[in-house]
Amino acid sequence: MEYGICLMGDIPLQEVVENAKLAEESGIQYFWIGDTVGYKHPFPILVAVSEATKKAIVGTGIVSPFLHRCVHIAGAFETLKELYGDRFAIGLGTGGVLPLSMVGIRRKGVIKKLEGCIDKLRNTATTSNIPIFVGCSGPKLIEFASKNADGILLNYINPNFVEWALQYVKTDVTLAAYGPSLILPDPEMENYFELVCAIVASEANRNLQKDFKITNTITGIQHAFGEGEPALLEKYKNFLYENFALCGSVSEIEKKITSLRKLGIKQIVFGYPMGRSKRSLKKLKETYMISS
Amino acid sequence: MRFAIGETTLTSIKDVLERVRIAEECNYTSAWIGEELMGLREIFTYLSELAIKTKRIRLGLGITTPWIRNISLIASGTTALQELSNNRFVLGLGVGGLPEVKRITGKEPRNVVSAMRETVELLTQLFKGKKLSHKGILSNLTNYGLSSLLKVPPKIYFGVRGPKLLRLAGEIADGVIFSGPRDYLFDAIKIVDKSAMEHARSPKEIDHVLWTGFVLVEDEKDLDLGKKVAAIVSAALPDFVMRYVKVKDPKQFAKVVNLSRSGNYLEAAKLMPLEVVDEVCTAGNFDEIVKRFEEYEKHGFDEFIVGPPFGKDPLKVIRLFKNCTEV
Repeated sequence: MEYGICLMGDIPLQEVVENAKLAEESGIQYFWIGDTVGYKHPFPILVAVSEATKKAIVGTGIVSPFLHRCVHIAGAFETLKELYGDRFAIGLGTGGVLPLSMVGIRRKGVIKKLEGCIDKLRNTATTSNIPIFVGCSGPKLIEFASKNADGILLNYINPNFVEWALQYVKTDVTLAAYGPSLILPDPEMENYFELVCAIVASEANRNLQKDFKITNTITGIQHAFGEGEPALLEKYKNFLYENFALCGSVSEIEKKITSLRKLGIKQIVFGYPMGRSKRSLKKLKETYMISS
Repeated sequence: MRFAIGETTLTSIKDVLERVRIAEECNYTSAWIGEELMGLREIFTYLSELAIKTKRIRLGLGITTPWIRNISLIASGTTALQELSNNRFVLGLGVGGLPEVKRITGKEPRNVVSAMRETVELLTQLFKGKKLSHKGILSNLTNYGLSSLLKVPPKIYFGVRGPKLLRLAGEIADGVIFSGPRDYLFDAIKIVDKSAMEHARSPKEIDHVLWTGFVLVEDEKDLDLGKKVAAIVSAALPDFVMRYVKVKDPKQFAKVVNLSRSGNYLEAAKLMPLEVVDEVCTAGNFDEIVKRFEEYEKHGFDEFIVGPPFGKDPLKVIRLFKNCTEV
């Protein structure tokens, strides 16, 4: 099993760099730099993390070609490769409808857009050998990614949901399970963690919601979220932790990882806010959870 | 006299990093990096490496265009660079090369003056930590803001040529990057300064940066380099700026410009009249270049960009101008 972690630009970059160093010392092999509307641009973070770490693969996790022109994504990795060699992965995704609409972008022709960008990256000499991962949650996109990308970043971390997603994977592509993660207890981070889980749950694919009969609960979460009142999420906490997060004690997390491994998952990506929590990162190192 | 080093993303980042570090040691004030729109390297990534590996030199993006990047990316990239560089970043904005912008976006930039004003006004608000909803020419935002508040908002410079845009620069920009033939430069700086005064600003508030092709000529062969630069510069000059170029044989020069614009730079360079090199480049030996810069300084220019292409040996050229820099 390989392990990756998501880092993002909502905290001072010096902290991002410190966290990256700590994570690499703990055995993290992949850094996935997230891109959220309003946070710092992911490309400077890619540079800072590449400079601060030694061997880990660094990638975008993910960027949307609806927001970033593909020529700029290719250009960022061309520059990084020139500086730091072959230690990169390109994570692409559609980007959320709501965040994109905040900056005036309407998502149309998702598969076509991703296909065009993958073609461009593959046909650019300098980026042609950089592995491309696609972030997915829905059947069509999972099938597309399994046929066109080198890897899939599945937006699910619950083994049942992952098993559901696997029916749409058509080739022997590298599979990573990517979800909000935190080693509990972490009093400082738990409210934020709940919020991140709620965001991910709100965007869960409709077919998955239907198949697992969770549509009403997700609608409730969306409403609570829409009210802008985090306290309203409290009653969904257990549901969110169980279904949309990798959290708990170290042994509880290990148990979930074992189930994911059995399903053929090759990489666990500890999603936000694990990459922001010094406490979780230190625990990761102290317990040798992933280095062993 | 303030010196800056100029580069574009066409040049390998490793080479540029070495040059910028030397420029920093030599007390150059700034490093300006131009974004090659059709080039392979990405400007925010490129500048991030320079921000991490240098300590004092001011780092300017000279320039990028809001026609090819969503304003949220310019804002978030600027925020990251300002932080990585410890507040040494300067954001240069312009319309960009029209053919390149059209090739990338499929559209010719329109309403450029209003769009540039809109972009600067929105960025300024965002850098102050405001959340914005706005429906405009280039940008549509809904409750969008930056999550991190900048300690020091970056200066915003313009790299523009047309009189209306120069007037806007005089009104709202912190600095202007000028480029073009000699007489045009003298007119352009007057437009900016006049506009500044009309808007109750002192021209001294505006930083006037000069970026022309730069070639240190040590022997006759170096003039060939100057001709190549003149060919590339000529291809990018709009007609109203081109009219400032004084040539003995206008018909022949028109032929050369057509060759340049069709991308045949080598052929254009071979036929390039020497007087054009003198018009659009700062070319000559050390003393001639210093004298030229002194002349520009008298017209109000504050900072002078050395390179590209520098001359035969860029590192030697950068070190050579060390003695002219203010400490």
